[in-house]
Amino acid sequence: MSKKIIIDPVTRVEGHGRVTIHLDASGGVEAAYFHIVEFRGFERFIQGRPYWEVPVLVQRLCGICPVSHHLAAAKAIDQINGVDPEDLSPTAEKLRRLLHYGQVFQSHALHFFYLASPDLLFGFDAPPEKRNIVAVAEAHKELARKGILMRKFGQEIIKSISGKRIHGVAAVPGGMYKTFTPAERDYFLDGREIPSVDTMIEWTQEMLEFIRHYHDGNRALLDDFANYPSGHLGLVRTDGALDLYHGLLRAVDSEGHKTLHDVSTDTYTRYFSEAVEKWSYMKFPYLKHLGREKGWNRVGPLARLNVCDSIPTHRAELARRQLLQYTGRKVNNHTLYAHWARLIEMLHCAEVVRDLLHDPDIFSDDLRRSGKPRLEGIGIIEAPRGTLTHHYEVDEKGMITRCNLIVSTTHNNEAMNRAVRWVAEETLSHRPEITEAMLNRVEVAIRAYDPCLSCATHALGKMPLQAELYDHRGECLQTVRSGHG
Amino acid sequence: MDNPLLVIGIGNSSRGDDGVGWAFLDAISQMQQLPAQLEYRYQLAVEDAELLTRFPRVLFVDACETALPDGFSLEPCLPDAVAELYTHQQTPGAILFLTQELYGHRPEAWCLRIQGYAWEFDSGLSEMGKENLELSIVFFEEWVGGAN
Repeated sequence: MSKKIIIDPVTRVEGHGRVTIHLDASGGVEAAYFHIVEFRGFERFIQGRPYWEVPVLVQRLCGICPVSHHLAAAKAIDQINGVDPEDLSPTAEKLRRLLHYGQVFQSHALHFFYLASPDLLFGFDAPPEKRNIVAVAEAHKELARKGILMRKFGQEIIKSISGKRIHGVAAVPGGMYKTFTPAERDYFLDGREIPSVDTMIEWTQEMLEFIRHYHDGNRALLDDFANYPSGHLGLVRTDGALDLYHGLLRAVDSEGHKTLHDVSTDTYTRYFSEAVEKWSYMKFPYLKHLGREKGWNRVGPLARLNVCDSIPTHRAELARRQLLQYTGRKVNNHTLYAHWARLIEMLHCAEVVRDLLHDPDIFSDDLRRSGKPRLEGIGIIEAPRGTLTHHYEVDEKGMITRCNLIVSTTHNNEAMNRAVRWVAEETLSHRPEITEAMLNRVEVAIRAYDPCLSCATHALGKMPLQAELYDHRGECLQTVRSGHG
Repeated sequence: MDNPLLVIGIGNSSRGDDGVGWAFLDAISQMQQLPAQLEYRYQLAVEDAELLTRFPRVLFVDACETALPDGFSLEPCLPDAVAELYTHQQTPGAILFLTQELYGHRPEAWCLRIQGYAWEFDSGLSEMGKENLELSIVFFEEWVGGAN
């Protein structure tokens, strides 16, 4: 008898998703889908609003990465105000970078310590009661304490620049709202009230040691788990180095051959299209010239390391080279190496934050520029989870007439579906019984992408995910809920 | 320690009565010489466990859908190791558990729940939500005075 498995809700991700796995009459996996079933319609309801409101409005897309939406929208709105990224004042650009790299640091810390670490510390097959932050706190106190303070450090950077840890106001059309003060800077350097930025660098390097040893001890599993070819997409500087705030769009295939050759972000519509499927509200972006089947890309930490030629801070670049040496490959298609890549990015972010805190430009009051107004603006940024696009058109009065958002998790939609299918085929096919531990492996694969389903559907998110098992007649035989929203 | 009491208002002022936790903080911030630090939150997060280490007493204020006879309720809040911890969002009990487990500190804690009625995208409280807020403020003024 064939079956269909449903995992609903998926846990330790942001937003509400569902997995269905269809088994044929012999118990083999016939199909597997990662469904996103929320819908919010942000692109529609901001139509008719004045353009200068947008960077504030779109922050409400997400409570985890509002800074990314704020800055991507701000970059687009800059253009409508006649200001391209290279025209910003040095102070405005550096403050935006400080805000952004602080945001990526805290987001990666949250994911690594509180969403991913239970799987790494206790194993994919550990009982559900062990797979959460409480168990981490009980068994690994020092790790949990550091995780809390690393997340807090990034949150405090955001608060110092935008006034609030979530949904503050920092960027305005053509620049920034306020400058930084030496007292605000010293808070992050002297280590009196919170651990200093140098301590953040030190702790991140400790975590990199941890992940390296973890890979040493589990290499066969990590190299094999959800390993499948794909394209990879990210922003790079003109010299090919990683850049999270602004750059050129580059994509490579699974072997490292360029499929998108460092093109301006303003031209993205020439290269990308989005497909839809009836079973998900989340779209499927792809490179037009490669088509729907071959043109999809992963985005996020692992993809960014795959597309860049270097990382422009010393310690993170050394860490990147160690990763390359470890795998012996320029491009890494192993899903679970995303955790290692995420920690390398954390190190890079901490180094960038340190360098910016020592840059006197952040204290200047040269905050805003303006130019000749335009009717269109495009802002693309590397959010924690990957390439994030905000595109707006306005009428002569500056009212939004059209909006298109392509968020990071949307780019990873196809990749996550492939991961679900891979795990389903490897773990669930032809098994006499489907266990909760087996289903957690499906979630482990999804979780590696740190998906933000609220962003991806522009929907209000409650978190978890559920799995359902269906037979070939469409009858639901088993439902497993691993958490609830 | 500057303030012996931490008051955390949880909610979203863009979702009608869900903003009552923040409205509560706005109201008590006008009280003279209130011996409390006020913190606004959309949701509790793990780093709040570290914040709690600096206070002997903590009050969590949140909106509540359940019907409450007085329009609000105050209940002791205890560390909860079995709270659902599958998401970015944490419960007061889970945060208290993390504070105790990681830092060996257990503040006295209470949850003040204020009944709400309207949860759609809108700013401002419903009329009944406002009434419950006012009742809870009167109660708080006596409670915090007595507690001191």
